Amino acid sequence: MGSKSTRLAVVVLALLVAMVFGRSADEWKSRTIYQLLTDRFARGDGSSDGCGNLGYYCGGNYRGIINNLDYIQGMGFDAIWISPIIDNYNGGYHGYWGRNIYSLNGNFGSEQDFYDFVNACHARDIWVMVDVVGNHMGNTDTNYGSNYLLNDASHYHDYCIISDNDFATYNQNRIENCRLAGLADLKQENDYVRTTLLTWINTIVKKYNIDGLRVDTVPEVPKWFWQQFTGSSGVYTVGEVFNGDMGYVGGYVGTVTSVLNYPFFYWVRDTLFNTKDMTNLRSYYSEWSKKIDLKQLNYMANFVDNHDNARWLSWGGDWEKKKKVFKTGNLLALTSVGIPIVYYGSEQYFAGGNDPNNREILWRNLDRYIFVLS
Amino acid sequence: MYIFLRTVIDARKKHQIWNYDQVERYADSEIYAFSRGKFLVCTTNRVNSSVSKSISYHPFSNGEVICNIFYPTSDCITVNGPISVYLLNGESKIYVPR
Repeated sequence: MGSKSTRLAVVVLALLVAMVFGRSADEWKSRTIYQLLTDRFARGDGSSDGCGNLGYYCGGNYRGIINNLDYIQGMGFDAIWISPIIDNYNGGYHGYWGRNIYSLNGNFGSEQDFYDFVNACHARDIWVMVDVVGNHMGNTDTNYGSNYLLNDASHYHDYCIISDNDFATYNQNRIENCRLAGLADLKQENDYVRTTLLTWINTIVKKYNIDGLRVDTVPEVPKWFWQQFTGSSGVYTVGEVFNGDMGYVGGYVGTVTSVLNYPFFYWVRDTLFNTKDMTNLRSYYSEWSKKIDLKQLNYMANFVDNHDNARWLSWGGDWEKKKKVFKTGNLLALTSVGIPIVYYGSEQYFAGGNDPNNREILWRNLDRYIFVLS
Repeated sequence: MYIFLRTVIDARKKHQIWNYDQVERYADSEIYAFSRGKFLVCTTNRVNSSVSKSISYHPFSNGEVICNIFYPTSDCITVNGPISVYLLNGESKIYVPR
């Protein structure tokens, strides 16, 4: 995992890279991010009927977001994290089943709609954070022919599946070289794959004027690749290391610019929901200080809900009590050291359970919420 | 919750808290409080009762008037030594200079 000083040097390098090319990590510190699923936030045509199947497309798109930026900005958010933008295999409403990396997902609108979305955000000084995947493509078989530009078997690792035990035992060889949920695992050590992905990320960031990236499935790819990927992107990258282990999560700081602060997510939820001793929060910082330079917490992204976990309010127990601790958790995310993220629907006390129930449609209450809820 | 988020985010921006280190001000089994500049955050895990603490290590000066951002006109304190923080039924407070 490397020494603390080595990791610090890598972090400094990554920060310098981001400062040279795009929105710097220090600039991102001032931002407050609203995370939404493009398919679930709002429809461009303003229709408000429901969605019969949350496991498939529901009709949200860029035009819908443009039309409702007041709703987001009205809460004070000045950055939006959207779903992956590229063309997906059938059913990839979430965006994580990529097919053609140089084509946009038409379900979310046209390319012009996406340009218009970014421009509309920038006109309001709202920054756009795009979710990106460099670990896998969307097919679960070994037919790679549809995966533009990565359409050959040599571009992928041999077929094997990461098991729960692999994750539990930190078997990095299998985590990096086998398939997550069966998805075709890209072979970043193949020079063509590496250069294709690096060129791609540089191209889309510049082409669409993207301000930052949320990077999916970080531990599933070697660290050296993320360093190159972040450098090529030229913007702040915040990576997903879906783990509460501070040593493991902290080990990725500086490979991507920083990481989603999953330890914060686990510690805050556990402390508040289970009414544990509030000195747990002191311990939280104390434990981080053993793993990283605490100044790095400035660049991590704090959150208490997201699309990969059952919403906090779906947990059992008294509703009024849950609402209170949920508010406190979000307040801690917004005020503690770090870059805060609030998951869409939190403002309306959404309470969906496991995926896809935590990915509700929001448009049914876009105009009534302010006057009803406080 | 929409209004709650707006209130916190507005205060976060107004006081540019990202420019200040986080300093723990008080911690016990019921309350955790910290500051970022002159921005004092007080939270509790006690949702069905009240808690009251005296915080002597805080970022404000004697004579300074500080107000809770959620009740900026009615929940104010003129600082004179330690601050008495009272949290009712799980509420959080953020004190800033008036």
